[in-house]
This record gives sequence, structure tokens and C-alpha cells, in this order.
Amino acid sequence: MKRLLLAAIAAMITLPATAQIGVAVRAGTLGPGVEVAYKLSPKLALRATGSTYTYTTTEELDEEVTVSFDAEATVGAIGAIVDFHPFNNLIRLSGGITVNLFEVSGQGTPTESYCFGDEDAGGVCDGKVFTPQRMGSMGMTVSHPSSVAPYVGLGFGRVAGTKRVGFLFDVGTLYTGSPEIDLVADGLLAPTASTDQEATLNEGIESFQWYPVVSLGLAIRL
Amino acid sequence: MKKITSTALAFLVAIGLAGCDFQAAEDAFDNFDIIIELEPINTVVNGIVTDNATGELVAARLSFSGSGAGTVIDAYSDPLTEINAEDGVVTFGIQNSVTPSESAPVEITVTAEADGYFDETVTVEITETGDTQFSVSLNSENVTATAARGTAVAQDNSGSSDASGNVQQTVTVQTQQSAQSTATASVTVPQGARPLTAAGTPLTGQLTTELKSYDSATGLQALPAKVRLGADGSNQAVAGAAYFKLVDRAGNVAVTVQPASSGGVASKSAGVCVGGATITIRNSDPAQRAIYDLIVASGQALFFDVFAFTPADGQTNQVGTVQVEEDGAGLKADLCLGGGTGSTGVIDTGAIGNPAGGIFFSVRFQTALTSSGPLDHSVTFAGISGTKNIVLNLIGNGINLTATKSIRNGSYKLSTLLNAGGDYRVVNNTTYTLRAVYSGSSETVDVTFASPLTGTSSLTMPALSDLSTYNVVAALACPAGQQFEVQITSGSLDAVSAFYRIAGVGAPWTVLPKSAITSKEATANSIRIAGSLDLKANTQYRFKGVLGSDAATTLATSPAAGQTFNITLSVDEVGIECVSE
Repeated sequence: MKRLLLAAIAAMITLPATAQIGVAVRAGTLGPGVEVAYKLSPKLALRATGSTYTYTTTEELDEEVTVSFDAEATVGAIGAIVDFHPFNNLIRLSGGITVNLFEVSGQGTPTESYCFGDEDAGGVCDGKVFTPQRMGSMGMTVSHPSSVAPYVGLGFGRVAGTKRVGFLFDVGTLYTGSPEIDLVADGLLAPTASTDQEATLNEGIESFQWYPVVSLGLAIRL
Repeated sequence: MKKITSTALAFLVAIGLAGCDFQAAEDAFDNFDIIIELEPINTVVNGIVTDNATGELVAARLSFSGSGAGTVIDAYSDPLTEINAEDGVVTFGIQNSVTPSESAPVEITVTAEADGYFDETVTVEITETGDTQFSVSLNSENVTATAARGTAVAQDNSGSSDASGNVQQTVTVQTQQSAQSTATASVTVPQGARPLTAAGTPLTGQLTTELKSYDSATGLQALPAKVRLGADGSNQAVAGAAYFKLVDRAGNVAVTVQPASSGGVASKSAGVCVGGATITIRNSDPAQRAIYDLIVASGQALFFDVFAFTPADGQTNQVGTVQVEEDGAGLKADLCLGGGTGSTGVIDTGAIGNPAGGIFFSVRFQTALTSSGPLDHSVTFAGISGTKNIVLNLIGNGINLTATKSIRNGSYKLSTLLNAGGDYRVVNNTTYTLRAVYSGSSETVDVTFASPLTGTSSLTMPALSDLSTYNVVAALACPAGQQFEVQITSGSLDAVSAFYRIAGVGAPWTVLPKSAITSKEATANSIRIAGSLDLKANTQYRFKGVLGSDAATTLATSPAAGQTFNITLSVDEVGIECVSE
């Protein structure tokens, strides 16, 4: 990262008078996006990127309590990237800072009455029946404490290249830090969102500090 | 160059993917549990339903009425109008919005119904938050089954009548005097008399006579509620009672006994029943004799009102009055059963309901000889170390109330001690006794006073010589490798109760009072309740853990004094399901 920055500074010192601008569309693990690049020199370009994608789904979880779960997942990032072409060809090293748009949220509501206790052979509850309203609901949000996420990656292709149209391929990673899960619940399910349960889940996902980025794109030089 | 690029590419992917511990995440989500928290219940009521004769628990359906009925909630804080006490033990609560106090008690009338038993009603008065206990003693519909305390039974098949229904030989049946009862009863059906059903059908062939006597104190508890209580649920100062059933082999049950002279009706002459059957209720209770002597000394006679309860239709009707007479060591009331009306001692058989299930005749002190009001007599307790579970029994003419209360040194009204709200009718010029015994102990102490309605008295409890204080830990735990399907929080355990008794038939059940509970803890695979209990050392106890109407039972032997007493109860029996972790 440090070397990349030094190279960028060195390249900027030797800016050519004929800088070029290109735009691109991409699709990848950060969702569909657009970007604008400014070619500073044959070895260096600045790129502004923006990608986002939101996916919604409803799942029925048939666990201890049958719950209908409405989930919404947003991935994406807005960033400023420096592209460095060390060999003066299409291969480049990329690095920069992004604003991570990642967030997953879900809200679950029991869909059936719950039998607290045994059921007889005919499925009739011998214990206490709680209605879905009495059970309450529970929700979960997964996000990152800091939205600022450095990016580093390898790429192929130029957004503001020598050809009018170019092909782009990038592999990299965002350093997001560990995500955090926040639970909320009400009704009888309220203690399901206890801090102990949150801590258990957060410990389980604390190693998920890097978000893999793979994308394909099409660039047009203006 | 390609090699460097490929290596860097692989490194980046490795950082992004392989750096994540997917197994840890999977484990974390596997360990995520659905947890339920039930609302806390500030006031819990624990009830025990037993067979009055045997002391064994009886499965019963309880329904609630009275001014406080609307405040009753189940273990899950839902409104409750009735509950099945499937194991004879039950726990329910009072809405948290209601704070019972001495000045604003919550009164709930609990009616217990069970197959093979008479319905029973008790009024529970709750005067404080925490826990309150009540018990319901049910009496078997098979009246001549096991004789409860204060009763005596006789059955006779020797009588017979001809085809016209005339009794061929005088039939006399008498219950035997026993140490457990101060009362006896006898019935005499004279030769030539004709036992008739309500429809006028004569009984023919072999006659079976069933007779049971009830004394005015301990025997009261063996009487169906509709004998002891008035329509408003108040006690009726019953001085004695007799159950009578005369039936032929065809199942015809007599409601009257027609005198030998055809078409005649029985009458009483010089205290003797002429023509009809005589049912005599005798009582050798010294307290009752003292009342009699006092009244006779003033130149008056003692009269009882006579009521008939018929279980077949649930009717209780007044059927006459009777003059009480001296009979050797005790008193007697002769009821003349023969169709006549209007004269003292002659039963108005037309006012008797359906006799198919027999007839309970009860004699009651007349209102002029009684006083009515709340049980405001105050008893000051001393000698109690801390708070103890004490079984209390108020007994005397027309009253027999039992309750278990957690109490400490101090003064309590009888209404509080006995959870007995409302007015009670007590007999004047007699005495009543409050008996106290530490739950599980056999050392009793009594205090006697003139009226349960007024006055004060004191009672010093003895040292607990036959009991030791144990730290008892009762656990409901899933088998190894399993956990509750749904976990509940520790704060949800207000409605989890524990009952215990010394193992063996007839030993009384005691609830583990809230004051004795030191901790309640719920985890993913166990529920543990720890408490401090006074128990006998090296003695086998039976424990019940109760959640609402479900109960788990186990036997455990207490260790030597000073050791922790660990008890394990089956989770399945209280309706909580375990699943693999």
C-alpha cells in the first residue's frame, strides 16, 4: 500500500499534457456499478467508483419456532482508487479508499402458534399455545462499525485506455473490519436478542474482516 | 512476471475468503437459541387437591369465581377461568396490576370438580404479594368408602320387605363409636313400615341401608360443600350430619318411610318418632354438650335446623327443626322420616330432592346461637426461627379450616393465616382451637379461644427438634447432549413451583414457599430451583415440580444433616421438550 502511494506520487510529478478520461460499467461482488477514470500518465490513473446492489427475500425458517423472515441485503461501495500500471501495459495494481455500503437486515415474525410443551400423537398441544402476536418478532442487522474500507487489488484493463473500448477484470479485497450483528426482539421472544446471544454471533463472524471483490467491466474512453 | 501476478492474485483471494473462519460462524449460529421470557408474576397461588380420606392427590378441574376471579392468570400471564390440576397440584397467578393487601385482599372462590368426588369449594383470600397456598379436600361420592377423620360408616343388608313393600323385621343400623369421631348415627325402620321412593313406589325384597355419621369438627371436612356451606358460600355452623341411603335390589331409593297404618304419616310423640323411620345423630363433643347445658340451665331447649342435601340433583333444602336431647354421654337429634310435616323433629320429606344418590341430613345451630363476621381474631406467634411453613387448622363447632402459611414471629388475623376471606358463622358460648405444626413435623401446638371473630391470643412454636435445615437443589435437566427446544429465562420461573411430602400414603403435601427459595436459574438445558427446607434426615421424600398444570414427580432420600439435598426431576413430565444440541 505504501509503495503504491509512493508510485502514484512519483507518477503525478510527471503528468502528461494529454490526460484522458474514461467511463466504465461493472458487475461483480459489489453489485453493478459505474466508474469514471482519469488517466494521469501511462502508468497512473485515478478512478472514482460506485457500486451497489440490494437483494430482498422472504424465507420461512422451520426451526423451534416457524418464522417468516424478510431479509434485505445491500452490498456495494463508493470509492476513490488509484490504478498503477507498473509495466505500462493492461495489468495494474489498484488501491484506494471506499465507503462500504454493506448492510444486511432482517425481520422475522412467527407464522404459526407455538406449542410450549408436548404435543400428543395427533399433534394437539398438551402444553401452552402462544399466538404469533404473543410470541412477538425478532430482527437482525449486520453492518460494519466503520464504513471506511481500504481497497487493494489486481486488475486487467484500462478505463481510460488507448483503445476506445476496453475490457476490465479486477480481483481484490476490501478491508472492512469485523462485522457486527445487532439483534432486536419483542414479545416473548425479547430475550432472544440478549447481549449474550449477540456476543456469541459476533465472535463467530469476527474473522470476516475482508470482503472479496471480483468484477468484470466494460470501459469506454471519452 | 506472470508468476508474480498469479501469486498476488491468489494471495488476495486467500485474504478475502480463506481468512474467514466459516466453521466458527457456523458454530455461532448453531449456538444461537430461541429464548422465551414469560412475564414475571408477582403473586403466585399454589394449590393442592387431595382425597380427604386418604390424603392422596386427585386430578381435578378447578374453576374460579368470586370478586377476584377476573384477576386470575395462568403461568404464562394469560387470563384464566379454569385449569386442570392433572396431578392434583396447580399453580396460577394474580395479575401484576393488582397488589393484594390486608386492606384490599383478593378473594377467589375455587370450585374443584373430579370424577367420583363431590364438588368442593374453597375461598382463597390473598392479602400479600409473593405466594399463597390453598388446599382442597375432595370427598368421594362413594360415601361408604374409606372413612375420613370425624366419620363412621355402617352398611347393612339384613332388611327386607314383602311384595307390598312392608318391612318384614325392624331394621336397625348404627355406626360404631370410634376414637376418630365424636359422632355416631343410627337408623331404625320399624317392622311393617313401607319405604317409598319420591314417586311413591315401595321398596321390595332385600333392603340395603347405608349410613355414615359426621361429627361437628373434623367430620365437617368430609362433608360435601353443599352440606357445610350456604348458597352464598358461607359456613353454616353444622353441628353434625348423617348420610342415609335405603335402597332395594331394583335400585329404588327411599325418600320416606310410610307408617304401617296405610296412608298414615309419621309423627313425634314425647320425643319418639311414631310410625316412620328414625335417624338419630349423636354427638359426644364436650363443647357441644356445654352449649346444651348452658341453654337448658336457662330454662330453654336447644333446637337445630335440619337440612337435606341430595347429591343426585345438588339440592340443599331445609326440611325441619329438631329438639336436641341428652343421650347418655352426649347429645342426640332424632329425625323422624315418615311424610309428616310441621312438627318439630318430623322431616318434611316433600322438601327433599332426588334421593337416588342418598341423602345428607345435617343439623345446624340456629342463627340466634351464632355470630357471623370476618375471622378477625389475632394470633401472635413467637418462637419461629426466620420464616417457616406452618400448617394451621382452626377447628370447632361448625368450622374446620386448614391452610399452610409461610409465617414469621408476629401477629396475624385468622383470616390471613387461613386464607379465609368473607364472613364466617361461629357458635356462641363455645371454644375454638387453632392447631399449628411445622410442615413436615409432628410436633403440634394449640391455642384455644372463645371466638374466631374477635380477641387476641398468642402461640409459641416449639423448637424444630425433628427437622434439619437443608439446602435443597431441584433440577429439571435435559439428558446429556440435549437442550431445551426453546429456552426460557430465569425470570420466567415465577410460576414454577415445587411440592413435597414424606414418601408414603397419606402424608400431607407441602409447597416449597417463595420465601424458602434462594435461587431459580434457567439455562439452555436445565432449570434449577434452590431453597432452604426443614426436612427429616435420611428420610425418603416425594417431590413434585410444577409448571402451571403439569408436574414431574420423583423420590429422593434426604442425606445426613448439613449436606446439600439434590433432586432431579424429569423434564418430559412438565411438558418441556429437549432436542439434540
